[in-house]
Amino acid sequence: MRGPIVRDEDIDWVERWQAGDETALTALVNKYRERVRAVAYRFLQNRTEAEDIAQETFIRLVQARDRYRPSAKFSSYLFTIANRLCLNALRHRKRHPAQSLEAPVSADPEAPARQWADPAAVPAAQVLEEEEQSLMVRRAVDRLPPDERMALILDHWEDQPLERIAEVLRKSIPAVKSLLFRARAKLRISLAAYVQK
Amino acid sequence: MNCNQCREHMEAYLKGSLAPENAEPFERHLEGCIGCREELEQVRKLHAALSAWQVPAASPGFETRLAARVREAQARLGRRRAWYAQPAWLGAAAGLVVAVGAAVWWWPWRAEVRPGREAFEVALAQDLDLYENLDLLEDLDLFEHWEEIESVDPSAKEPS
Repeated sequence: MRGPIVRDEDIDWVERWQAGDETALTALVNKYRERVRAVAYRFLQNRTEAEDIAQETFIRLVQARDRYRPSAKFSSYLFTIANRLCLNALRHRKRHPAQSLEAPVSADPEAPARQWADPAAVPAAQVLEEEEQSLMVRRAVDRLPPDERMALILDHWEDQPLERIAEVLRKSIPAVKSLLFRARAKLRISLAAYVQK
Repeated sequence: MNCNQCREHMEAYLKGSLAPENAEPFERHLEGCIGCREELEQVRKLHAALSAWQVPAASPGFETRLAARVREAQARLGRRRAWYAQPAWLGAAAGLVVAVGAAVWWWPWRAEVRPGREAFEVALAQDLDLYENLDLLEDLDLFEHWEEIESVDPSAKEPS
């Protein structure tokens, strides 16, 4: 993962923050807050846990202020922290399998989709179909192994290039390609009803 | 471009990130290959199904809580740095190092003053049958009292 320093615009903010400018940290938090929360949400499918992980990610960033040296893109660094925290949360769930009020979809197959765009804008039948499809997508993603799931999230929703995903997952680019291929192949089977109709 | 290459580019094509030098051969292949056109349609549907999944809005107060926790972490970091920068702390740390060094120097467990150390090493060398490898052991600096160990006749070891 250690390569030549990649200069991106965020690094300027980081350097200003390291030099004592706290507004630079606020700018970074504002820029990445929702993206980190979205990654954690899609990985864990639990809003409360996702918000906790977003908070913890930025706290870890603050704690690492003096140690952080930009050897990768800043977003990759943040997503790396978030990924580790998500994996910790998964391990915690395995050790403490008590059901939370907002359990992931795989643990609560009968739960209705909890989020959707404004349903007033589309006909009721279409809303139902879209909600059902969303639920199926969430279940299918939730069933993917953690590495495949995170690779897919970073690739599809965060639009990260392969080399950035490789940095986050600490894998080679061919390994990431393989993870994405397997993830999509599994999703096409899980979502065959939607993909093949 | 063959079918495998075409399929490798489908995701990038749907994202609009296909490199210009690949776009033209990709589209030309699609025109002549019904299998890849069908495959692209399925990839497009999967892509659309995934894209439709929206993340719910954050809970009320999330931004405020996050900002407060980040400020708190930042303040804690500042306090820690200030504490480490204090001359009094450096003096205390230096004093501690000197005290630990003095304690180690005078500690009664030091091999030179520990009573019975020679006998202990000799007995250990006997028990473990180490005489055959004395050169190696000397290199490893495990024992301090070589003269006593070497003066013992290995054949004098008591049968166990």
